[in-house]
Amino acid sequence: MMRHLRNAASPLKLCRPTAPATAVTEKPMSDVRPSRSVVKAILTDLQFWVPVAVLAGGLMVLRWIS
Amino acid sequence: MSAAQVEVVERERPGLVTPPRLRTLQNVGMLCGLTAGAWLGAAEAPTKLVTLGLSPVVVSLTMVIGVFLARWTLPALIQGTSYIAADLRQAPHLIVWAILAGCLWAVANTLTIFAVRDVGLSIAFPLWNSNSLLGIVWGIVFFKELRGADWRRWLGVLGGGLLMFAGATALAIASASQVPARDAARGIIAALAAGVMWGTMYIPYRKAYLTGMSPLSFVTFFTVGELGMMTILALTYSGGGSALWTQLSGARHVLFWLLAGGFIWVIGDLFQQYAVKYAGITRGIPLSNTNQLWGLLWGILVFGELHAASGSVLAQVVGGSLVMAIGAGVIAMSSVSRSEHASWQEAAEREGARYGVRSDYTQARIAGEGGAIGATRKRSGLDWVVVGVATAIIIGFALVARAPQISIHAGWSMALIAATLAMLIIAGSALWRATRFN
Repeated sequence: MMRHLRNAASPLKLCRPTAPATAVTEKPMSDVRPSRSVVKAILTDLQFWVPVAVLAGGLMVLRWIS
Repeated sequence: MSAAQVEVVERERPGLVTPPRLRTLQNVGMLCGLTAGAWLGAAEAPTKLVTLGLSPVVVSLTMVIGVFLARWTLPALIQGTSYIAADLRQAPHLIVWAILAGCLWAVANTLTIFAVRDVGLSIAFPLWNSNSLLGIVWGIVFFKELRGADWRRWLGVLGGGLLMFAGATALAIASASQVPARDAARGIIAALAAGVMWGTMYIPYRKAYLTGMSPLSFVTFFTVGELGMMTILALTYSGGGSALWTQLSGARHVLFWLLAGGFIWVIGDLFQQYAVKYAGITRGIPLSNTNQLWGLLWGILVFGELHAASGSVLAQVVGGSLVMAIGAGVIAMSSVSRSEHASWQEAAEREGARYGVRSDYTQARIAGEGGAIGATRKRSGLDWVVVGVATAIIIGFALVARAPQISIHAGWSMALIAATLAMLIIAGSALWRATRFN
């Protein structure tokens, strides 16, 4: 019985939790290091492609007017 | 986000900025925006001393060289290169954004020179000044600006932006230059394209400052993009290196004034970047667009423009200036609420999570604090070399410069210089006290 309570949560709350609740709280998202590479993060960021597209458009306008 | 939701967020995230601190940062951001307007307007003065006849790319390239010198000198003097390097190491991905923003600026600046050539300043200026309206859109769409703000703040920012645009249009028409329209369609498209590019340039700005980077660090690589792109454009459109060199050496007597314009422009731009950081795109950019008012003051009071203007034109100038000032005032009163600032911090956390930036760094920097980056502000031998080389280059150009053959009103010139310097001192000291230039 003790072994069962220690290894799994008891739906009937037959005993006190064996560890404080905070110990299993997930870290905030901002503390999590991304698994993807920085390059991949940049290339999949819409906020990167909007300026790139605008830069390409601006260069085309410049080529046209000059 | 409601007040109750803000309270919940505050309990969960004790790093949120306190209300008094938020007010301080807001006031500093607004002050920086207004000071940016004064310095960006003053940057037009040296360029007025240059006799026209230079090609647009040569004008743009020379200004960018002055910008480059200033963008390395001022951060080296204020923070030191070791501090800048430590700051960049916290979020190295932002180097890509800085270079991208610099490329956008260089192309946009060149487009404006073509636009002025083709349709004149009166039409071109309000068209490219629409960048602040696009900046507001990007701020709302990408960075959660105005989220959680009440309707009065929405009305203040959008209404103020539109008022400033209307005032700018009236001023530009009134100060119409005598440049004949050569090719209206091409000039209008060039001016609009410049506005879109500058408006979009605020995406990298805001991204960097939400992450926490100091503007003094960001601009060092921003200017690499500027100079690199401008050099490519100048080589391409001038017909190669030797042709470009011939044009530059032929214009050596006036290059100093363009360099000086670029240098002054950087001081305004630095304040604009701090305005974006602490007041957001939606407030900072419209306020810094008061540069048109300052440019007009320099034109009328110092260079005697509009001295023969009719009464209706002068009425247009006064009316346009008042409308613009009212618009700036309305925006300045639409300060960021706590709930909106909590939304900014959500956007900042999203950036940190995406690119693996330390959350304590982001939280400290968004509150205008230093954060632990493992470096202190101190000047090394390298910093003095940077400052020395830049100063020598500027002195070299000054030695071959010719005094401009143009009459100016010295009294008004001194008065405007004093006012601009006073704003620099007031805003600079407020920024230092509140954020230590972080």
